[in-house]
Amino acid sequence: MLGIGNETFQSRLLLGTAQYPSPAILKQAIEASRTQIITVSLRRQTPGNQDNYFWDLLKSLPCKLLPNTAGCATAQEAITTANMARELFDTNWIKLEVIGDDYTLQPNVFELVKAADELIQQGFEVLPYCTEDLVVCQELVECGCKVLMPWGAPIGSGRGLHNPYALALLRERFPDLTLIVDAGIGKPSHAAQAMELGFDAVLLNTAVARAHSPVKMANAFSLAVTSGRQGYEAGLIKASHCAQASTPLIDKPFWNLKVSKAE
Amino acid sequence: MKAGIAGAGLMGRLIAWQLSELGWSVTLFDKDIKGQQSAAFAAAGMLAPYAEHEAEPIIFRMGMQAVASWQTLAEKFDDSSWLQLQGSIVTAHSSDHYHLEELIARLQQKIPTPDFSLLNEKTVKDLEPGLQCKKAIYLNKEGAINSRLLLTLLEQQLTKAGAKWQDKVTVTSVKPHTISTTENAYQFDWVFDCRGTGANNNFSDLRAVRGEVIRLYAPDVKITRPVRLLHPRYRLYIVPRPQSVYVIGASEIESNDTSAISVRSCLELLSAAYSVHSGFAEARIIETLSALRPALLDNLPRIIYQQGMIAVNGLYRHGFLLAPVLLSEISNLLYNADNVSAYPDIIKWDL
Repeated sequence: MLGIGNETFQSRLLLGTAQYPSPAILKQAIEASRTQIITVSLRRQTPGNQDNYFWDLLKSLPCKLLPNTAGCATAQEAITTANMARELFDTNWIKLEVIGDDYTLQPNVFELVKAADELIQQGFEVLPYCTEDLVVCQELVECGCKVLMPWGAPIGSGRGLHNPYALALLRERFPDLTLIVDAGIGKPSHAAQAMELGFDAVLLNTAVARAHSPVKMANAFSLAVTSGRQGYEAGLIKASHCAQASTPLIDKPFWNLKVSKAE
Repeated sequence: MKAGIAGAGLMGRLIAWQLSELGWSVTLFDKDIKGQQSAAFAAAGMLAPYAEHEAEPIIFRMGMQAVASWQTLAEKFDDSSWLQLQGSIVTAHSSDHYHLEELIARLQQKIPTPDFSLLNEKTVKDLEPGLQCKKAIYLNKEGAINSRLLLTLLEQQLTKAGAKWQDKVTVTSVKPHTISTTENAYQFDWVFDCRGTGANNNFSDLRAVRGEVIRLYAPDVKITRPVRLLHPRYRLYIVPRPQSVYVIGASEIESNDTSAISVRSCLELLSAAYSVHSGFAEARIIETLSALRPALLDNLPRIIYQQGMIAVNGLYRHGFLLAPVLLSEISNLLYNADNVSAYPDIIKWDL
């Protein structure tokens, strides 16, 4: 079970709601993905305008809504957006996103930590979109984040996990924290890889929304996440240089092997 | 036969025109008969079945039929300069060329025999001397409609044919045989609900998708065909109009907000346009506009048929691409109701 705040979820796949060909396909994709948490953006909306068909549609789905602060470039903007989101969607959850570079959409980790610190004091459950930098993650944990969402690769790039070493290290250093790979996932195998590293969940949007068949892709990701997680729980064998025959070869004593021959 | 038409945007005008040609007595109702509040007035009028195929295969099928229908319709006008069908160009920045590959992959997967050609720096120049880009796709079946010119010409044709205009009225409901305004109720043999975003009593899943558009006067730019820029985040097209005017569009925001264009959208649209052609630097901004596209849950059009009423909606961002096909579907419903529609999924019988 995936635990965030004081809630638990069967599904370990979080899905974004942007860029789908239509709201109808979005709905079908959400069903096919079996996700229980969907993100929603407040970007480009006029403050105060609460009458929004698309938001009402998302609210009507049997999923937890996770508003994000996409498009914010400073801590202050993100804090304001988070407060708007709390009012609009009646939730203290916030996917905290503070962008530092427009081309890569890389998080500005300095502003991110500032915003996280303030929002936690204001009673938010902060899910920060961060880089895989260990020290940045330590700072976020320090100010009270119970969930970390490091990127796999830049948002929408579909490049998969750029730095699996650092992601594995985060798992090792924060064994009790909820870790979610957010952004950069392009293929179901990327999601499975993140889960095999012991991550608690993955969050993605473009890979499903822009697929030729979003509904089919949503199902593919659901299966990949389940499969990766089960692989992790089952205990992966360690890779080794030397072949280990799965059928014991009793007629080949080890001294016959070339590699073990004394020179 | 007497027809009442609620909503005098593109769809309402086309229906009115067709019926008056068939000898019907036609009355149009709108808050603004000049059509300046209609989605069509703001639209760039792209006819882009290839570039817009991504939504559903039906949009491509209807779009291809529409391109042919517009050509037939244009023959009935003295001035048919509103229709331009010299193809369109799709391009991307060098770092985003994979978007062009992705578009080609989609075209090849979804369209049986896609008709497109790849352009390099030189062949782009042969086609559009004023355009500089390393790689592009040429879609020779596409084009654009000068939306405002067509709306005006339709108004003139209708007036000449004796259509009646109920201007500056607010339609409160459209029911079989009856159009009600805040003042009065009017009876007709048939009524047509073409109100777009105003028609939520006939379309429960109707929503508005905000679009923002900028018009530029750019004498330094010489582009004759619609140009679409593929970008990871922005959706941009540049559609040329006569006298060095270019329509730059369009944002797509899930909102029914009709307030003025935002700074963010302005920055995005203008910087993207400038990146396609540096001649836009000294262009003059002659207009900014925001309008609402009426869309249904599946982003597809829908026709509701009841005895005495036909309601059409959900043209979304495909108004000019779909309108003539919806028009022929509607006349089919009126005159050959036994005919099997080529698009049965979009017609809802409510008898």
